[in-house]
Amino acid sequence: MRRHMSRILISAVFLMLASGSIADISAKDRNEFRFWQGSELRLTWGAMPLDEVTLSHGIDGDYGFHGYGTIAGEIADSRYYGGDGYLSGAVGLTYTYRFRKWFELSGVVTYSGYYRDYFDKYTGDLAFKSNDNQVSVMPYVRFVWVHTDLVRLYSGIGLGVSFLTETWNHSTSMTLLPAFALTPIGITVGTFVYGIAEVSLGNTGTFSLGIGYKF
Amino acid sequence: MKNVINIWVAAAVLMTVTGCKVDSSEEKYVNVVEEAYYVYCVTGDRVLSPVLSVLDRALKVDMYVKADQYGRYELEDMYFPDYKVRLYDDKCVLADGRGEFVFDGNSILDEGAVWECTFNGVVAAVSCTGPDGWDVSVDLQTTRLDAPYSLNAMEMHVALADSCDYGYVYGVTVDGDYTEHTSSREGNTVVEVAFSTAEPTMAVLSRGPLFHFFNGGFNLHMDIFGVMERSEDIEVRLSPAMSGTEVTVNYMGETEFWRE
Repeated sequence: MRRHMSRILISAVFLMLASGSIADISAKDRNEFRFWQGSELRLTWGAMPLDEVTLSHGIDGDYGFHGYGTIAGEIADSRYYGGDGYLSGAVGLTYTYRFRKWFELSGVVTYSGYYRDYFDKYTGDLAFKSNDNQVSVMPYVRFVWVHTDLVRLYSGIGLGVSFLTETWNHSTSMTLLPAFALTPIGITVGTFVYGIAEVSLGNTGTFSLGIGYKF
Repeated sequence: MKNVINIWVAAAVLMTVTGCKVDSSEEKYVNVVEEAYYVYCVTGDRVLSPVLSVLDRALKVDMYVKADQYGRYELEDMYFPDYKVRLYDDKCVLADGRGEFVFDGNSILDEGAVWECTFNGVVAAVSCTGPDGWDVSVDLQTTRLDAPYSLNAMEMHVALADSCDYGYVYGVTVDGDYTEHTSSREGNTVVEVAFSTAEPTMAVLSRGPLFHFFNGGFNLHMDIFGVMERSEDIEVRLSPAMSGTEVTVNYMGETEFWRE
């Protein structure tokens, strides 16, 4: 299974490289777009990132008595009830340098969080706040396979690390995890300031929207 | 271009605000009285049932002793299907070691008879106080309830109220207290529960070794020592329902009902 996955990934990378090169060569023959080396900043918001924070929340727990524990255990477990729980989605900030028309290298920082207030069942008062925060950092390569003045279509892949902090009832733990993003297709619309929409697997979100600026 | 920016920002804000609530408030599931009901269940299942089982088994052993050979086969099938019953001159042993009933030469139905009984960790003297009435005196030093519960005191008087397809129906009057001792990462927690019947309360063997209590009630008091320190009274009333028993629990000024 793992071998198949790596073959698929390697094939995908080669295909993207090839398509990028073709786009590069074919672009030379046309006059409809200009390319210049330079930088970009992107701000994105991605729904449903495949990260620990998102995957471990969003399923309503089974609050209440389970009926198989001790008195103290059951009372402790049901002492606090959760309010509404929110996921931030993946908020990403990306710096990109355009090396070629078809090849861009980026550094991506992504934040994903979960917030929920917990209340004392006896008083209804706020007892504590539960926060999970995951910050991912990864280098990311982007292969542009359609490049016009207004529109770019691209694919990309990134691999990095993420730091997860989980705070529950005044105690915090920290975990180091891998981070990744695999983008089969993304689109930007605009020249200097542009809008972004992309579909990905990984820490950047399954479906992302954003805004970018070329300089 | 400005319009494009506005559209994207509006879309992002909209998704951020509306699309991210993933867990609903659990407030609607909160039922403070539930913990009191749980204390009652633990008291019935983990403390009262094992002690009452001793008397129940003693009465069945008495039937076994008095029965002829064929009657004994029938009783073994009916009451002791999981045991090998070994009868000696002065005692009856349930051969897997879970039960021993030492006679004093009298039937347990005879007034004044005292049997020393051991069953499922409970060691008690069962004494007949009159026609169809018994005291169960638990030996607190040697009795072992299932962990983490330990019995501190108990006085139990039982009267035979009826017999039905399920077996005997008992009228139970009881007074005592027990301790639950648990350890966790946060520290040790000790729960002390004092219990007494508000009036003679009916009990019948129900699920396996557990008794179902009905028509009566209990007054409980729970003290928790440790990280969750608290001291609360619990009032339980058991009344007949269309089917089964309605359990009314009064706790911290609130009343809730359960159907058993």
